[in-house]
Amino acid sequence: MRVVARQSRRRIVVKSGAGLAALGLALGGAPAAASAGPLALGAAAQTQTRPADSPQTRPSRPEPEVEYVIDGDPVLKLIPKDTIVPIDAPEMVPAAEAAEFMRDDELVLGVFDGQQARAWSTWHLDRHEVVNDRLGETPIAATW
Amino acid sequence: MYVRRIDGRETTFGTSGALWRDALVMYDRDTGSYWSQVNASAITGPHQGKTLAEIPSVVTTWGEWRKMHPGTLVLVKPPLEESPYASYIASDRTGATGRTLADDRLPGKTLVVGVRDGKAAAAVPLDLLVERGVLNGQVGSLPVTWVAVGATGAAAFERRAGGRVLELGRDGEGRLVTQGGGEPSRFDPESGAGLSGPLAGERLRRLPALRVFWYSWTSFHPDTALVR
Repeated sequence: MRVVARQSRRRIVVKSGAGLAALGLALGGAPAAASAGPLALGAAAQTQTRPADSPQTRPSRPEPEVEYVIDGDPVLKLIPKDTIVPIDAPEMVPAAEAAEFMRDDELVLGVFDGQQARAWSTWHLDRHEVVNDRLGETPIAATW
Repeated sequence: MYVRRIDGRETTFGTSGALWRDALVMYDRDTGSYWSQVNASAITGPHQGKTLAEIPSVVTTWGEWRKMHPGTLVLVKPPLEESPYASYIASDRTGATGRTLADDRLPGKTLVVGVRDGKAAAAVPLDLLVERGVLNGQVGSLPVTWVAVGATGAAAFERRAGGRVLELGRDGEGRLVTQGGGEPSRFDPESGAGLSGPLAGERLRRLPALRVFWYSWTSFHPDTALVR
């Protein structure tokens, strides 16, 4: 017997697993730039695909530096470390106190160990990539 | 989601500003070793080759999450703005560095739910999983059931209990239920706890499952199986 989730096609939004949104924000500064930013690291691609953007108003793109080659693939250094700022002292509140800043249709990354549950908005994770947190006694890194 | 403990020692992670295989790289603040977020292993530095323990997590809506876990805590943040992924999701382009997709079994931007076991990997398309509610497959020799959670999330379990491999479906209440002959057993779809039937009291082992674009999954796991 199979059950088809009724809301199945409603809205499947994305986690790339790759943290590209944070990178785009760091490179381009604003979400509007980020929507193209992480995909167009080269200046030529940028001007071809986004002709409406004035180059004068956009930060210049750094040339990626190949730091290492691991298993045949380059590790490209794009921005200084911790430009995307991790969260080290997360302020957590109960669900009842979250109505002002959480929407019901907003995506969260959640974890439950059988006793305690914690959630982090993926929109917020887009901006920070890493939350150094704790689940009970266990030190955890919520990564995005 | 990882345990930030290496060789028994607690550490914290920062963001390196570097990209490998189109995924951001973290570094541990004790040694500066680089860690891939996708395969949880250190790719440079003193910890190179080591792997972090993974913790199963789920991506779903806040409304569904707080219904499942009324006692949840949530990270304080500013109110929502539009997702910066919006146009990225809609476009056909994949990745940040122009890598060409090596695996055309699915369009690169298809969301899949990937599970690893040692060197073996297998993934299911998320939309198919959400439609069916449950999919049975293998990750190498490990029998695995993928389970839809709410409208957008997914979990995975080793589908083995009581010394046998199970085929699992969903019942009218959303519980996992054994298929085939005999008296059915039912399991909680989130914890894997056996609720009723001959396997009541047993527990399916929850496996870490990564919700990720197909192109990203295949760039880390080129030999991945695709279950559908």
